Amino acid sequence: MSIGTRGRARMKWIALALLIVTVSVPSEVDGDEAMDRVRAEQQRRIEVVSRARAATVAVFDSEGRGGGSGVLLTPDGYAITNYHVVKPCGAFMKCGLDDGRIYDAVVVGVDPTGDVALIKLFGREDFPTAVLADSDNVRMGQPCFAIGNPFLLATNLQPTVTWGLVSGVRRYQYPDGTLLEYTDCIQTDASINPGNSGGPLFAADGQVIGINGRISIEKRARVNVGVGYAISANQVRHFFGVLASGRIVDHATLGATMTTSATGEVTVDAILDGTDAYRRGLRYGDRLVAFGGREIESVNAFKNVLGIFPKGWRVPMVFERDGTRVATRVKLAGVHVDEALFEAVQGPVNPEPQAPEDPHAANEPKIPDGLAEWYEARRGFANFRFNRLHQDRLLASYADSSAARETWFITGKDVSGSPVEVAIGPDTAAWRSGTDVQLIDFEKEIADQRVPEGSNGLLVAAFLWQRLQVGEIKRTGEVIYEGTAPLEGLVATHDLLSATAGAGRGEFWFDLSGSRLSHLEWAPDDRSDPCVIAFSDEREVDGRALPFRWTVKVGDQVVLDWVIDSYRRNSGESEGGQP
Amino acid sequence: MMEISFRVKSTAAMLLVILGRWLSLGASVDAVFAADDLPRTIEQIVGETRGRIVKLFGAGGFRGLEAYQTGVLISESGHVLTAWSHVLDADPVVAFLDDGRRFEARLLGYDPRLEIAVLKLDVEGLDFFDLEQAVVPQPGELVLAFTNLYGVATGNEPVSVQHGSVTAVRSLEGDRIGGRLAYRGPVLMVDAITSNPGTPGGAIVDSAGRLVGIIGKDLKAPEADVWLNYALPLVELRRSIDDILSGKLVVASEDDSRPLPSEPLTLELLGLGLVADVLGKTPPFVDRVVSGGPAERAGIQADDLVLFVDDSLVSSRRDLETALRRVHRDDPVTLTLQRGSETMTVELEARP
Repeated sequence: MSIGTRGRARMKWIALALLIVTVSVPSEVDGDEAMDRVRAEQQRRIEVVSRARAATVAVFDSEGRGGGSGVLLTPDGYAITNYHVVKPCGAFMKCGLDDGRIYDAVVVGVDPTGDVALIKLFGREDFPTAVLADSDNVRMGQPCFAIGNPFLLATNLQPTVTWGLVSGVRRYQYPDGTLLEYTDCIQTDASINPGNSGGPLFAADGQVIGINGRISIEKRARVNVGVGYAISANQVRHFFGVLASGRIVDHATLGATMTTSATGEVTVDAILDGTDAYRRGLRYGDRLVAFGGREIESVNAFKNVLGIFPKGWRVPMVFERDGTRVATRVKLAGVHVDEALFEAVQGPVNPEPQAPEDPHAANEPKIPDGLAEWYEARRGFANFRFNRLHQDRLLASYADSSAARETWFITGKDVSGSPVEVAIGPDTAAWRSGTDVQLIDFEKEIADQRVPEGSNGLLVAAFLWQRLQVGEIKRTGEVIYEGTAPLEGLVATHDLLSATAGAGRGEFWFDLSGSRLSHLEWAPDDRSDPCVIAFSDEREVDGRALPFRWTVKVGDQVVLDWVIDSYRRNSGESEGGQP
Repeated sequence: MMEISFRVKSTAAMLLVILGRWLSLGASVDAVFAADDLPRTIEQIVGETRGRIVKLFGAGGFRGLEAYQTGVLISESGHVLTAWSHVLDADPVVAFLDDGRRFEARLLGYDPRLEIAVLKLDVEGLDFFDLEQAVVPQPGELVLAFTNLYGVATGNEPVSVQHGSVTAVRSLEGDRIGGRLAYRGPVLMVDAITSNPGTPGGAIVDSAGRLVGIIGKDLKAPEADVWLNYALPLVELRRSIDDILSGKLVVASEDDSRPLPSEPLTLELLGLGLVADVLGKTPPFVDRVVSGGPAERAGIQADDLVLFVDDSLVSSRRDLETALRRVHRDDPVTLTLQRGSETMTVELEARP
């Protein structure tokens, strides 16, 4: 018989093994030395488990009856758990750590589709934390251990540790309707049982590779049968900054479905023409080569990777047609209509009123002392308090509204050196470039006024930008902190603040480092490419850092590269200018 | 003194085996054992093994019967060893290799005494388990199970791996739970939960990456609602596998054109009552014998399993009835039976 590739691989291992023996192992290991090594390894493992235990949370509802597990990721008490653990708890829960203490906690954000929730524990600023691993590096067969609160055994607050293997990676587990879908998850035979839900699955080095949430049971009883699933650490990382917004968070669709062709390639089966994927050029029959940073070899692989990204993120995509490859970034739409998702979590908008004889529902949890200010109910939010927190943080440097009534005159030149001027005030927005003069009529729908031509609404975008600068953005419409998202790659780099204006929606992108406003996207609708302004060359003008270059793109086209000469106020005084 | 020192060393060695190999705590620990065995971490064994496991999809999907199970490659030319079950009662049975290649599997033969079957894929050059390496693991030995559990893997997605140890090597004869198993020899009991949907036919692999057992069909103790986690030891299967591969236990040709006798034998004429054929593939277990009938006179008893009718292998009640239709009711017929761990041959005549 011939030695196949596997045979050769085995010979490589033999060679490698011999090398290790030659290099690192003395010709004879006596019993004492071997035992010392065993003890050292054991001690190392005990220490890893000890650190991992400290960051593991036993989650109980306020009555101490139901619950699950969680894991602390920040010293100020942000912890990840499952949505299905938090849901029956309501807004408040009690969390036990292995220090034997119980801490009050409040829900921050929920992701019902991905079965993830973010909670915040109170009482310390130095909570022990665990680190999220890069779960793309997790391999079938590697050792792992789960820590948690199986069967709610941790009444003494001491968690349970169970060892096992990674049985499989990139598994897919079907949703219940559209919720609780596990994509790209990690399968383990470490014993996970009811109560382990929301708790961490660790690699042998003590980094978190997943959040335990689900087991296969089928015809067996509701206990572990050697088959558990953990939400990947990378999915948790993508959603962490989005959940911190306090929102009810949605998962993503591409607006296109895939099929496997006769030759085994993954191709576009159907695509909706209003989607960003369509606008980026994806068409029926195109081959999907890579998505979300992964080679796509099967329809399942595509579904798997799609499920780990939040709605609204732009992710890299490579497709191929007639041998030509196109690499682009595509913005993902939501799985749900907003209201459908909110209803699944919060019930109908106008629920039946409470029976009059029962004005205080018996199961209404008492709000723990001092926590009332940390919860704010609002439609579409798990806890609006946290949205307000981030809005306040991002808008802190735009809080001065003393300039609210001012009109700003921005003058500059485009690449050809022609002058481009914009004037913006509380109810004024004007544009002049040569003989082209445009005005926004605030009596009419603002989103329909997409001037200047080809910009898909640059003048409205400039208006939103000025309203932000003068502390008036909340007057244009509803402002929401959307969470974090990546500008490039897949690591979140920016905070996103959205603001509606008429039927359109603006999105302010702030650098995570230093809160610099780096981009503004204005989408008059969700069927056309938004007007995207990249700001650069910031200089200080009268206490404000203002960008002296606006690069405006629609889709992949730069429609204006505007170099600013000066910002002036309606008083006519110069606020700054070209030196 | 020498003895004590040796014992210390071997205890340490045992611990190192467990820690080093199974928790993969570092190459240096692994390599201590390079002298007597190749050092392998679980990840390495997984890497060597997953390509030798096949996902099988066939009949089922109703009445709680899964339409999928597991198989292992035992030749480079696509011979797949698996558990004999309802899943194989499909045309075609579809097999997926670890690399995602899809094949229609042909049933080459099966052995109802062991409830194993060998399928053939039309392919060459595959990696496979070398049956010559078969060993019987000892209780306490650590093993890995590779299975298509819960159908969670499709296409090129790898099967699942679980860990555990052999807890006993013993016969299930006399066990209430073992009563539904035709095979009476020793089985490998494991503490990994290997009895799950889709696991039959799965591989039990030892710490050297050798195939040591095949997970058998679901065995449940209905009184306790408990499933047994066990495997058929490979060493017990080898002769049967050889028989199948050499053509002795092959599936009867469908296009047998010999004329059927006008007055064939029937179960009634033999005074034989069999277990009801619920699934179409119910093994031909004797349910009762008619008092004073040919079967009783020949010494056949309830719970006997019919293996052969003359030289024809029968794996189901349906097979048995088909085989009887080829025998004239005036001719004697030879039945090969399994009773407990014994196999016996009896000759019957409907009209003595």
